[in-house]
Amino acid sequence: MLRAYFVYVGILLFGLAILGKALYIQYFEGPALMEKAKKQEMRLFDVEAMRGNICSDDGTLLATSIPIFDVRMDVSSENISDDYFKENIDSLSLCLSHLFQDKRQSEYKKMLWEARRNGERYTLIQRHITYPELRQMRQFPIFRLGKYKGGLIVIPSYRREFPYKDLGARTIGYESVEDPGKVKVGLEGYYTQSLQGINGKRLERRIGNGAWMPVDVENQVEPQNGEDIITTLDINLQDLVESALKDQLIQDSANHGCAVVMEVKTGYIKAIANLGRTKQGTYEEVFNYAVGEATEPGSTFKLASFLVALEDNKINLNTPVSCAGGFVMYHGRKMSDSHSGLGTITAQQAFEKSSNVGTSKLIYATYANDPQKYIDGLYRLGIQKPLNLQIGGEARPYIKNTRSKWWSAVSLPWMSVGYEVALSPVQILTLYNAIANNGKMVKPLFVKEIRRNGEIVQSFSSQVINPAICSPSTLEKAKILLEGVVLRGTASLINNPIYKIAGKTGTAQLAQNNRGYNQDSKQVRYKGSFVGYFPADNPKYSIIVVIHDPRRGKFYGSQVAAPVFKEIADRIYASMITIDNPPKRDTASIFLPYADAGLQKDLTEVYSTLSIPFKPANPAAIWAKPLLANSEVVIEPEHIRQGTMPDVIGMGIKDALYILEQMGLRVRVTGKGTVIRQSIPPGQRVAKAEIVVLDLGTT
Amino acid sequence: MTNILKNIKGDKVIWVVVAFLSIFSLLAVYSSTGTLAYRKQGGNTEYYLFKHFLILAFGLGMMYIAHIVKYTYYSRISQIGLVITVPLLLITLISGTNLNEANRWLTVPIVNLTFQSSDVAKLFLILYLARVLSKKQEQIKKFRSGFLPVIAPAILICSLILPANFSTAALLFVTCMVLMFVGRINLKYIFSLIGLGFVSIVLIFVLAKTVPNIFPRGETWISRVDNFMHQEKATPDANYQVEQSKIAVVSGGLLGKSPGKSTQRNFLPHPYSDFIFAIIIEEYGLLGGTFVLLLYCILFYRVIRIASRCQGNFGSFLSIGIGFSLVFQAMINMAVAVHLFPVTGQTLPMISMGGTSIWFTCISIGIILSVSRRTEIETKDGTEIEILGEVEKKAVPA
Repeated sequence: MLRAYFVYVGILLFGLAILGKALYIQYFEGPALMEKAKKQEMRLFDVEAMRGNICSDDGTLLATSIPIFDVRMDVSSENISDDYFKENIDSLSLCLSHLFQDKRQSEYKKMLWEARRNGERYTLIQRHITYPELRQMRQFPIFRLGKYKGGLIVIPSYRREFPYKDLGARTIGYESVEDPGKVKVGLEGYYTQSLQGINGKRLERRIGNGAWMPVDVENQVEPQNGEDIITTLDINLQDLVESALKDQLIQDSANHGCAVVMEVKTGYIKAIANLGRTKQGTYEEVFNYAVGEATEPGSTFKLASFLVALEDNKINLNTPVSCAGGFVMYHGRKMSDSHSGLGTITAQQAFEKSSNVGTSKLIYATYANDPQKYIDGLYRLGIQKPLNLQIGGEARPYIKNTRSKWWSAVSLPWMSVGYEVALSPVQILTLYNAIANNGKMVKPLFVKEIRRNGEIVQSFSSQVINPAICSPSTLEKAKILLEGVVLRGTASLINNPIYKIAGKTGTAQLAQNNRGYNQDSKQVRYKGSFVGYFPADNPKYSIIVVIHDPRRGKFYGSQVAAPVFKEIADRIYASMITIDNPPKRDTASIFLPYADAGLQKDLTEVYSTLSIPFKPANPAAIWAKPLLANSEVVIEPEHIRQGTMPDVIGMGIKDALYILEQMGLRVRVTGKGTVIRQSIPPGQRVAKAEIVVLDLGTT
Repeated sequence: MTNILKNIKGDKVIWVVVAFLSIFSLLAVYSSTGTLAYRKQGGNTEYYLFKHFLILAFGLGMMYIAHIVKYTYYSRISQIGLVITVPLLLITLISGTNLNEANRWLTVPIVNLTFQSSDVAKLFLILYLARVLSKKQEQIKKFRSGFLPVIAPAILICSLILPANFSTAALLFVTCMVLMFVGRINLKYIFSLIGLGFVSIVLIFVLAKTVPNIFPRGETWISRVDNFMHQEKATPDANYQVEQSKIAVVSGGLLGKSPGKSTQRNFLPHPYSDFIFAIIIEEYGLLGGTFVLLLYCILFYRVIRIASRCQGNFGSFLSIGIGFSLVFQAMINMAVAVHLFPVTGQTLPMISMGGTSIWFTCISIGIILSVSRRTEIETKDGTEIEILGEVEKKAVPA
C-alpha cells in the first residue's frame, strides 16, 4: 500500500497549498481587498409591478398601464472595440435620427463620440420609448449585439394611459398634480392597494457610472401584477351624459355642474360627469362635485319633508294650505315663493308647484311644538349618514339637530324646504333612488368586481342601506307627488307622451361665503337641479343633474337641469326598447351569421342559444368549422392530427394558436382579424418547433 | 434509536468526521441562505435550513443503509451500473434540464427529482474500476489484459461527461489514474497517460478557441481559464466572483467574524454551494477553515488505513477510489475559494447545499464504511480468507 500513502502525501500537500494561499491572500492582498470591500455597494431594487386596469362595466379599458422604456448605452463598454464603433457609429446615428426624429444624424454621432471619449457608461439615448420602438432599436447596428456586447441598457417602467382621455376622468382618477406619483384621486386612489400589486425585489450591485447590475437570477423576486377594477360605468352612457352636461353648462355659462346616472335595482353608477369651468373658459373634470360637494339642496329636499310628515300621518295629499300672497313670515324672517298668488291649495299642489310657503307651513304647523320629531323622521330615512362610497372624498351629509347650538327658531321652516342642511348630489340621488326602488335604499356602487388575471377576486352586489325607508302607503303617495311634478308641476316642460318621468326640481340660492344670501343684491347666485327616475311605472334608472351658478338669466332647476335629465333619459330609453322588447323574429328570412372555425362545443352552444338551425358534426370531433348552407349551418369536423398541419384558416387567433402550440409548432402572426393564410398548407407533415406564419385579415 | 446506534459499525473516526461535517454544513448553509430565504420565502429564514436538514438526515439514512450492505455486493452492482450509466449520460447530453447552458441535470419522471447524471456515473465507474483492477491483479502489468480493460471504460465515461461538465470529467479522470496507480498498473502506461491527458486538454482548449461552437460550454471554459491565467487583463465583471471570494477570505482573518455575520454572502453568487468555503473562512476564520480542511485529511487518512487493513483487493481499491474522489473534489472546491484554481462548479462534499449530490456523497461514504465494517468482522473472527472469491462463488448459483 505504499502507493496509497504516496497519494495521501499528495493530498496533504494540496491542503497545505490551499492554507498557504489563504494566508497569502490575508497578509499580502488583504489591505487592497478591504479597501475595495468598503466601496462595494448593494441595493435591493424594487421591480415595479404592473398596475391593474380600470375597466368599464363591459370590460372596456378606462385606465391601463403600458410598458415604456428608458434607453441608455454603455458607450465605453470594453466589448465594443474602437474599430467596430467607428465602423458603425454613422449607421447607428442615422437609425436613431430616423426613429426618433428629434436630432439630426450628426448630432447623435457627436453625442455618442463625446460620450465615448469621456468614458461614459450610462449615456441616455431616449426616454419613454414604446415597446415597438424598442424592438426596432434592438435591430440597430451595435445594439443588435445585445446587452453586453452592444452596450444597450433598457430600463423598463410603466405609463398610465387613459384610452378615453377625459371621460369620467375624476371618477376613474389620476395622479395629483401637486404630488405626482403619490396621491391619486377617484377609483385610482381608493383602490390603489388592489391596483398597484406587489413590487418584486432584485439584489443589485453598483458597476460604476450609476449603473446597477443584478447579482444573480436567484436573488430576484418576481413582481405580482395589480388587480383589475371592473367599474359599473357604461362608457357610452358616460360619453352621452358628459356631452349633455357640457352643452348645458356652456349654454348657461355656469360655474360648474354634475350629472349622475344610477341603476335603480343595483345601485350601480352607470355614468358620472363632473365639469367645472377652467380659467380658460373650458369645462373639465377638475373636482368630483357629485360626491364631494355637499351644499344646501333646496327644493329637492322637500321630498324628505313630505316623507316624514306623510309617514307620521300628519298630512295627506289633500291637506289644504294657504299660499296666499306668496310669502310667509317666521320670527321676522320672510320666506317667499317664486310665484305669488297660488291661493289655498292642497299639499300635493304645494309639492308639484314647489311652494316654499306651502311646504314650510305644513311642516311648521305639524312640528313647531316638537321639531325633534321632524328631525327623527329625517334620521329614520337614513340620509344623515355618509354612504361610505367606493371612492374617496365623500362629503359628510349635514342634517341639523335641535340639540345643535346653531338651531334657531327659523331652522324648522327653512330646513323643510332644503336650507340649513347639506347633502351631496349622490346622497340626494340615493334617497330618490330608494323611492324608485320601492322604498329599498341601496348604496351607490362604482365598482362591481375586482379581478386578478381575469379571475374574480371580489364582487360587489347591491348593498342595502335601509330595506324600507317608509311604509308602502307613504311610498305610493311619494310616487304620486313626484310624477305630479312632471305631469302638472314645475317640470312639466319635460313631460312626454312616450314614457313617464318622476322627479323634483330644485332651485336653491347659494350662500355667498360669509355674506349670507344677499337677498337684495343683484349678485344672487343659484343652483338649479333636477332629480328623478324613469320610466316611472317600472323605474330602471335614477338621475340627478345639478347646475351651479348659471349666468345667462335662466336659473330654475326646471330650466337648466331638467332638460339635461330629459336628454339623457331619452337616449337611455331609446336603447332600452331594443333590450327589453326584442323585435319579433322574421322566420321567413333567417340571416345565417358567418362564424369562424373553433371548438365544436362552442359553436353548437352559440347556434343553439341563438336558435339558428344547424347540423352538428360527429360529436367526437373537438374542432369544427361552420359552413353556410341554404337554410341551416352545417358544422364540419376539423381533423387535428399530431404531426400533420391542420387547416386553421377561418379560425380566430386564440383557437389557432392553441391548436398549433399544442402541436409544438412555433407560430408567428401578422395582421389583425381571423386567419386568412397559413404558411404550411393543411395536411403537410410538420415537425416540433417548426415555424408557421399566420396572416390575419378580414374575409 | 439506541438500536440503530448499536448497529452503527465501521470506522468510528469516519462517523465522527461525518458528524462534524454535517454540523458545519448546517451552520454554513443557514448563514449563507439567510438573505436568500428572507427575500424568496417571505421572511422565513429557516426555510432552506429546514429543507437542507431534511435532505441531510435522509442522506445519513442512506449512508447507514449503504454501510450495512456487504461491500462485495457492490462489485456485482458496478457492472449493471456501468451499463445503465452510458445511456443515462447520453440522454442528459441531449435533453437534460438546461441550467447555466450546461446539460448536466436529469429529471426523474415521476418523483420530479433532478440529479446530475455525472454523480451516478462517477460512483459506478469507480466501483467498476475497483472490480476490474482486483480481478486482473495477476496480469496487471500487461497492456492488453491489464491496462486496456481499465482505461477503456474510464475514457468512455469521462468523454461522455466532458462536453457538459469539464471539471467533473477531469476530476473523475484524475481519480481513475490514481486508482490505476494504486492498483499497480505499470507506471510506464500511467505516465504516458498523463502526457496524453495533458496534450488532449490543450487540444480541447485550442479547438474550443478556434472553432467557437464545437463545445456548448467552450466559451465558459476558456474565459474561466483566461481569467485565472491573466488576472490583470480580466474584465472587472468576470473577476467578480473571485474577488468577492477573496474579500471573504480576507475579512475572516484568523478567528472569523463569528457565525452568521457574513456580509460577503450577499455579494457572492451561490454562497451556499460553490463558494461555501469562503463563507466558512469569513465566519470561522482561517482556524475554522483549517479545521474543515483537516476533517477531509483525516477522512482520507482513515480511508487509506481501511484500505491497507482490508483483506481483498476490491475493498482497498474501492475505498481509495471513492475516498480520493471525494476528498479531491473537496480540495478543488477549497482551492477555487482561495483562487488557487480557476472557477469550477464543484461543490464541497457533505457541506454544500444541494439535494441529490449530498445523497451520492453519503452513499459513497457508506460504501467506505461497509468495507471497514467487514474488515472489523474479519479481524474479530481471526479468519483470513479471500473474501472476493468466496462471494463470487456464492453469487453464482450452481
